[in-house]
Amino acid sequence: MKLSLRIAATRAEALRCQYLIAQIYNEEYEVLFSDDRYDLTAKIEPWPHRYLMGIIDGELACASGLYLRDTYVERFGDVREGDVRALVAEAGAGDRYGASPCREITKVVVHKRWRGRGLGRAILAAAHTVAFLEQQATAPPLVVFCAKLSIVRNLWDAIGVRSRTIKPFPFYKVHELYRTDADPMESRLVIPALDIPPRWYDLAVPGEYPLETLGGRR
Amino acid sequence: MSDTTYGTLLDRPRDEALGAFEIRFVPLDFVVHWRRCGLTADYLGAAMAYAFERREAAAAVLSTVINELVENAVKFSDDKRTEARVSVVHDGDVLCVEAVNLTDAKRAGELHAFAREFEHADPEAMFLERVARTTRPGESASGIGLLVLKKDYDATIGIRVRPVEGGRSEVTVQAVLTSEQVEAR
Repeated sequence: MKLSLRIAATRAEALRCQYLIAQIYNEEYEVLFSDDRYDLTAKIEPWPHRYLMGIIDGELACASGLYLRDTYVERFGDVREGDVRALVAEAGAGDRYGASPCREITKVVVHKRWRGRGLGRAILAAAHTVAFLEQQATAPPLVVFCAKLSIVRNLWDAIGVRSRTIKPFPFYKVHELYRTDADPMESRLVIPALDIPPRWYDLAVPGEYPLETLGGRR
Repeated sequence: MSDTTYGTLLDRPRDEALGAFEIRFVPLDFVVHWRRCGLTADYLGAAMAYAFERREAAAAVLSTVINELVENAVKFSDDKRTEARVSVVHDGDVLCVEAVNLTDAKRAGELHAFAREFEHADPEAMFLERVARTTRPGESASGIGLLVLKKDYDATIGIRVRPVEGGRSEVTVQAVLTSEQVEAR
């Protein structure tokens, strides 16, 4: 099975990603979306700015979003620039990433029909490519995300992308069907040059790949 | 199973109406852009407000009422790709806003429980209790909007749950206001 990867370039492609994400997030977590009104208590979330598409046999099988600015962890996770800079300095990457903006990988979804094949890991790996992360960037960006710890283990850790805890993510009503006390959420930082394996960071997008080479199953 | 109705549902012939609008929509479109609920309510409210002397006041009241029913229809549709509809019918004396959507057995059961309590409870007390629920993880606080329509707008609320094929139910929610209530604010 081959997975075709490309960044959504037209309104039609971006909308296809939004509809897939909305259907899954609403069904599983009751989340609603808006461009101009955010309210995590009312379960209304902001849309990402860009989308990565994973296509099998012409069908959108999985997708990932990317905030280019105004990241979720900064807006809602109480993450300050100083929190990020401290971790970057601690990692010895201050020279390279001293003034880098943060971008956020978010809304990673797999169509129900295509689950159980490792597509979540595949699309997440592809979301860590230069092509997706650094689009329209003037300097190499840092990467942040928030997720519950089981997802960090099963996705980020599983594909070999290291992530560094910034701080626990506060509780919001919008996450009540996602997180639990035993499986809390954290805001995390990925320093691309140090934490993303080259096989992902340098992966060519657009491109078509056998699923197993992206961490999925045949 | 037969229909269950809570409160009173109006069934007035539309051909005698002095203004009637209906919009059919796919709930998923509103999940993708939640502001579409408000825009739909604003449009229908403004369109219907021409029937009233205090047009701005009427538009604001109608928009609030319609928005609540549209949002409910979207949130409680089980299959977000199945069409729902909202209508506004004015016969001169009263104005009826109605939303219809399909839902699953779980949501229908929750609606029955809510509607049974809603029918007889003190709306102020029930409202406060529901608001308190919003702070507790995993507890549903649905129905707050209908309580606001009842306690703050004196709307007459009717709810019908009608079992249909496949274990699903068609849910009809009506909010009825007199013409005086529409212009009262």
